[in-house]
Amino acid sequence: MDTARRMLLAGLGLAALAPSASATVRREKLLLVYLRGGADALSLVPPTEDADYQQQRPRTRLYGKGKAPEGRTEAEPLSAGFGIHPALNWVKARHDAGRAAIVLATGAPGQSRSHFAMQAATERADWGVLPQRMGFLARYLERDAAAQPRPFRGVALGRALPVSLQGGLEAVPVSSLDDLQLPDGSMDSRALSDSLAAHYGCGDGGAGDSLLERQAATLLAGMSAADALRRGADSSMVSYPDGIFAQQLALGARLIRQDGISGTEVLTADLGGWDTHDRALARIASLAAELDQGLAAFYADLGARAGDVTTVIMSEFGRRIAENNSLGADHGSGGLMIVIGSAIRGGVYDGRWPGLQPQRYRGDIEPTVDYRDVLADVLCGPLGMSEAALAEVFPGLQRQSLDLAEAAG
Amino acid sequence: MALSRRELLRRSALLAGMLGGLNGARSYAAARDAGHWRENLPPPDPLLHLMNRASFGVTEAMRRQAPSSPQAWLEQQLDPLAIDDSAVDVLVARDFPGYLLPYPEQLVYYSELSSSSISRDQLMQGDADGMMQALGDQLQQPTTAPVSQRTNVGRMALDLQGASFYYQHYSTRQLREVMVDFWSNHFHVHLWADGQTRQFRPQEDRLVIRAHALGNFEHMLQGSAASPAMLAYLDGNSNRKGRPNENYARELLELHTLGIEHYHPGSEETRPPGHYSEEDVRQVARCFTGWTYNKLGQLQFVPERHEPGDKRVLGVTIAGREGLLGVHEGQEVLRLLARHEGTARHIARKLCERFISDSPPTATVNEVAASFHAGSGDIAQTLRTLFSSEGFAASTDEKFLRPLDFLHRLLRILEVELRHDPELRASTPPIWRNRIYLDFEREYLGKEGHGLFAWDTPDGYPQAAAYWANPNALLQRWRAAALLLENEAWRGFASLELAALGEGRSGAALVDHLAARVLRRGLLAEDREQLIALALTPAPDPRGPLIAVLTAMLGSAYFQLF
Repeated sequence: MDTARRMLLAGLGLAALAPSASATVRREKLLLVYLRGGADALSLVPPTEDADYQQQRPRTRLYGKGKAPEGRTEAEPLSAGFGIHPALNWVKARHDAGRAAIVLATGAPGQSRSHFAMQAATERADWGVLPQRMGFLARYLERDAAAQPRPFRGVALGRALPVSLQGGLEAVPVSSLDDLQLPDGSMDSRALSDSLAAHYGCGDGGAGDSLLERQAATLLAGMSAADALRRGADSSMVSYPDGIFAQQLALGARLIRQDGISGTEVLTADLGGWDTHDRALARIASLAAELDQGLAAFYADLGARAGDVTTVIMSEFGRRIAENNSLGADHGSGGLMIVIGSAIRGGVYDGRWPGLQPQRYRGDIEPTVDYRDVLADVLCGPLGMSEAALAEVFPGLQRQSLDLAEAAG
Repeated sequence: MALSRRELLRRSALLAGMLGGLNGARSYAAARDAGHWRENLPPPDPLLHLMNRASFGVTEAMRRQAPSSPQAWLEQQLDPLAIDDSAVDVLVARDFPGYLLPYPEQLVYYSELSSSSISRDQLMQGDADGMMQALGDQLQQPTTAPVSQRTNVGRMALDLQGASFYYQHYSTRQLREVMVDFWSNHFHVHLWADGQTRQFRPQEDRLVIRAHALGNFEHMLQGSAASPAMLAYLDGNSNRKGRPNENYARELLELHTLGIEHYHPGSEETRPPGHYSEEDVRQVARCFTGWTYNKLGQLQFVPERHEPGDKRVLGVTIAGREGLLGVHEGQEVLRLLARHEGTARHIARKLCERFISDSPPTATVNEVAASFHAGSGDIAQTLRTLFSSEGFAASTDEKFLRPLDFLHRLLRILEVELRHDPELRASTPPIWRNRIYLDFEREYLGKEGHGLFAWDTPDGYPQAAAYWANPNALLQRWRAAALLLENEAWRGFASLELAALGEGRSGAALVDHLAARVLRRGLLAEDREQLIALALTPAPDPRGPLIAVLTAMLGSAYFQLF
């Protein structure tokens, strides 16, 4: 290791990545799972005994326990007439243990049914108020950004930053730790990164002061941290199911187990394929299993750290109440959020359930719970954010807490 | 729950101020907001400064063929039809032939009906009579489905992206290509918004954006307003009497002409001169009621849907017209807006932000605005003023390459020949191995969030470094350069370079030669020493030092700033 590189690591690499002194206040970590495509709430948590539901989903409904005809699917009962998709085994177990909150009729301001518009809007979460395009998780991280940014505080498990993490300095997309390095091949990539470090003013023990130099410094610190993570022994004993989603979560679990090096606070993972205009029953059964098994493996893999991560599952909107002619349902409004964590008060949050009368809200579930209120309960609860900081993360939100989280103590 | 973006905007000033104060406490955010990008690197000469800003990358051929003065080069570029550009047309015709067809023929070309009586070969041979006959039969078939359901509009959209990428990469009319990109973002239509935008955006590219990119702004504005792509994207086709849809009217004022800086949220009585109010938005929307398009992709005015009576826009009375003449009301509004001083200022600022700096000097913006206004929207004249201004001359290294700018410079400087072969791509997993255009588009532009025509809101891609520059973006540039050089594509360029240098080359000779070819300007002494050391570092492969030095240059601030 040459001088420049050593100085780089001493000056801003590992030192900056170590947990800060203020970490005495316990702060949990967040995993945001975004179900892309508009997940059908009525298939994941169906009101099996509701007459409107039964009437409007004649061919694609789930049934109450012991009531399904041959070949149809039964939901596992929760409470208040709601059941849960049988593939969501592990989520049900967390619910039964009082640690999974299932929030009904969630949604975002605005009435768009466009995937593009609603994904971007829910992830920016500023409704055009802020001058810069910046995601709400990037704003969350930038609140207490250190002078020397730490790149792995926010990690998008995947190939690109989702909108929620765009616009700040302290987030990177990681699909594999191997991507966070210069490609080896014909050249000496170590010599190349030393040369780039020197060029960007990181070689003399401190970062330069232009934005480009700061960003290069952050990047080089991230590459060093990725080196250290690759060298670190991976203690995982858990076997994950097949599929990209589970592989992403395996990487996420590793970053959290090794958070002394990574400093990871926020993870995002995407599970696509929820745009079930047709063949909804089979597709949702398979997606729900992928979601549930991936999360089960993730928490098993976290081991002793399992209590440190709160998971929020959301989607851009729910689907129409009535099924369509292709055994699916079209884009709708109100959906579903599931929050899982050791500080979460479990249960079915149906206090503002609007009912399923088709004429009530253009054929959709009326969104009566603002999705930002669910996230605010998590950020201001287990993640330890102050109430005052909410104005930065969710500008314009008049908070109505659902009391999802137990009081700190 | 139903808080609209607009309602929130009106209350935003207070919030934004508050947040600005909070951000100001943090060094990174403060530096970002101050826009401190510039490094003190040796500047390029004035001709290269101009060529680099007004192109997608200066190639060796471009440099060799350029006249000696910046003014002469600019004049050549401002007269694009006098420049021979047949080479790229041949390549586009080879790889994306459907793009070059007029709209109705495109429907046949992209049709998925196997019963179509026209073969692709016949179509390409230009059997016009036969084609129109078959097309007529097809359009007259009794069907309730819109045309889009019988046409593979996804392929139409992909071919538009491909052809645009080829023009940017290969065209000798580089300034026009840069302006096509500028105006495509100014009059942005999100290609993937729906079936209509996919179907109609390609013809808008040819008939509106390309046709007027260096011509007259008002002509482009009129064309944009009348194009089915815009009518579909901003709901103009559902704006009708008694059921107004203000979407287009608002974006016309806020984005295409006067700009949000001339928006007056208060009442009509307190509106400052040159500003527009909510009442103006409503009145403009009324003028455009009845505009829609027909099956042949042409503007159609439906008098029954048009709101009768006079309208008043920006203090000017737009006289109500009877019957089909009602279409003139919208056209009159467009003329009024195109010639408005506020529009001149808005366009001038955007052009200066694109070509000079993220915060251009006010004096230059005013100079450019005056030129635009005096020339009644003459775009070439406006660009002459901009590129000969003092503000432009003094602005070296004030811009940061967007991902599209970076990728094209990489490919153009390394003289990569593009191919379009989806089947080969599917069968060769390692990326960038076969110079296949789709790899560059999907694996780099897509991942960096800069896919062509793919921005998801009507304001078009941002131009400022504050949006594009982040640590991961930098890493992806380093990796892209290294991957491209490691793969096949490096051979043409690099082997020639090495041969030119001859045997027994020194590290210094290699670095100086490549800096002249790739960066086209001098190096700071310490950077030169670093690169020479890198050139002399032993590597696993004899070509390793060359690849490392090139990657270091392509990944440096010399290359990202321009």
